[in-house]
Amino acid sequence: MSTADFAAERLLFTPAVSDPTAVPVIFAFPNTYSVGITSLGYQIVWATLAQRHDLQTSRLFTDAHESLPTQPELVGFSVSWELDYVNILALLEQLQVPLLAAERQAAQPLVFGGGPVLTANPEPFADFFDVILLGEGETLLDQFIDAYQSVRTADRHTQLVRLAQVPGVYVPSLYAVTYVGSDGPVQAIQAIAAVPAQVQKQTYRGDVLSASKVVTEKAAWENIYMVEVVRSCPEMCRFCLASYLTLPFRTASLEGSLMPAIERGLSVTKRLGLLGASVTQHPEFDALLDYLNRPEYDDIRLSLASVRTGTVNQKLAATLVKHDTRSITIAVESGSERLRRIVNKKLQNDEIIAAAVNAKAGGLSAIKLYGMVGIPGEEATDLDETVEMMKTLKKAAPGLRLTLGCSTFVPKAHTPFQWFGVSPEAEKRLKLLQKQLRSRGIDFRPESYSWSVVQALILGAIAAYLNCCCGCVTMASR
Amino acid sequence: MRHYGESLGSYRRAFKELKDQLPPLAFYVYQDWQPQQVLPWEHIQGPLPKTTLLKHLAEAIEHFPVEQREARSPLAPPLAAPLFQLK
Repeated sequence: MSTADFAAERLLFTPAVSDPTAVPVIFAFPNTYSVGITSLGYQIVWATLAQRHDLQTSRLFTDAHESLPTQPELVGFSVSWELDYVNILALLEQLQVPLLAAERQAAQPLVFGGGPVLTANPEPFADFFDVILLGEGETLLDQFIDAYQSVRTADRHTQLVRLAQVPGVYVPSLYAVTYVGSDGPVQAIQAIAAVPAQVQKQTYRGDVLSASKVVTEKAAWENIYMVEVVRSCPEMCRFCLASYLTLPFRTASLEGSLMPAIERGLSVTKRLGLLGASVTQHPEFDALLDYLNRPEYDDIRLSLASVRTGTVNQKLAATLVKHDTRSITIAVESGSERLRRIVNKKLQNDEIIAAAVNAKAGGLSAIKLYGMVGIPGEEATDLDETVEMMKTLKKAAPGLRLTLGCSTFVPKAHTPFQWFGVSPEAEKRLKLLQKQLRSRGIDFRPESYSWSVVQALILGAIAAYLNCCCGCVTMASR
Repeated sequence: MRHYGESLGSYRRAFKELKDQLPPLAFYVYQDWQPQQVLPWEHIQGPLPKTTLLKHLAEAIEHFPVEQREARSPLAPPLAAPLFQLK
């Protein structure tokens, strides 16, 4: 990608003209432009920064950047995947900013980060950030910038203590982590300055949710315009970060938020993505389908995040087919009803069968199921039930292409399963499912077990460890 | 450009080199944690209080196979011997 490709962007907001004294800011996404610009969270934060007269914001990706200031005062990262941390380090190095917050001097930028990964569990990344923004950006971001403006010329420590007073702003260097012995787990985490003992997150309470601020053919989904239909998920599956981290479940107002947003987006593109952990559980989802089925929208292409199994009906399937989508994704977790009870997934096998039958009847050609191995309490016989379920589905909806995507259970912070470890059996069980399903002509797509282990490591890790790891890995790669 | 930890192997190596400074890899990956274990995110307030999360956890464990219920329950009484010796 070349920098000129920024020219392909169609903006749905008007960037502010910066004041002469504006704060130079770099706002980065630690992956390629194509991935970063497809992140709704990145778009929203960038647009918020770019609409402030008192900031001069430039964007940075691993393969593209706008004209960058030589002396940025703030460098921000939007982090949506934990394994992208390697790119954060590489970008800091590229900017010639010391990797460790503790080593940054007065003239060097404050490095801030936000996004779901950092909000769930900032500690593994804490050494690299001066400031971490926890929770939802809607109100937090402006408060953070306002607070920075009030201490812009102060010394670094004064700046950090002031910023830490904003609810949702976490300054890792103002908290001390102690360990049990020299090689033990965390013993205590304590504030070491006049800052809150426990950092609050900000939760947005409005009924207008996010929508794309930029549409571009260079996005991972070409020219997609994204609309957030719901935030969080009311199901509360016990392992699920998307549900637990962002509670409460909120829905965008159909008339006040969704319809105007969709109208705005469809004036610049024909491709619409409805986002949210559980979009079909919007109380007016049916009315939303009616709205999208109006003749003037016949030529739009509609994409949907995964949907709750019990909500796959013929109308939904037919609406997708009419708008150029051939496949639907449902998360079933397992073929074992007992395992689904363990994870609080309120779903029966006959509902899964009904979903497949409805998908086919509505004209869809494929259905993708998401499952998981290594769910706490799982036994070998539970896998047999998953195989059995896929066989039953194949018979119930012949001709419908079936895929089972399968991950390994990894504990996530702030969920009830945060105390459980990864199952050592999981790798073997992924292989077993693969053998059983592929021999029956069912597409099976396991997620990498090794990456799951690394994710668990990052979760359980404390900053010191990751930091040490970087050193060691650096040595090892020499 | 340096190379940062990009594979499981590199983490295993790092743990080996740091074996006197960190709990073993198993602690972070495979082991269940006791509720009294201070979590690395203890100082970050989540949307729900810990008591609610523990209640949801207890409900989940009710559906475990009997023989796993005690062995894998983080709610089981703490082990007689501490997991980590104070040095």
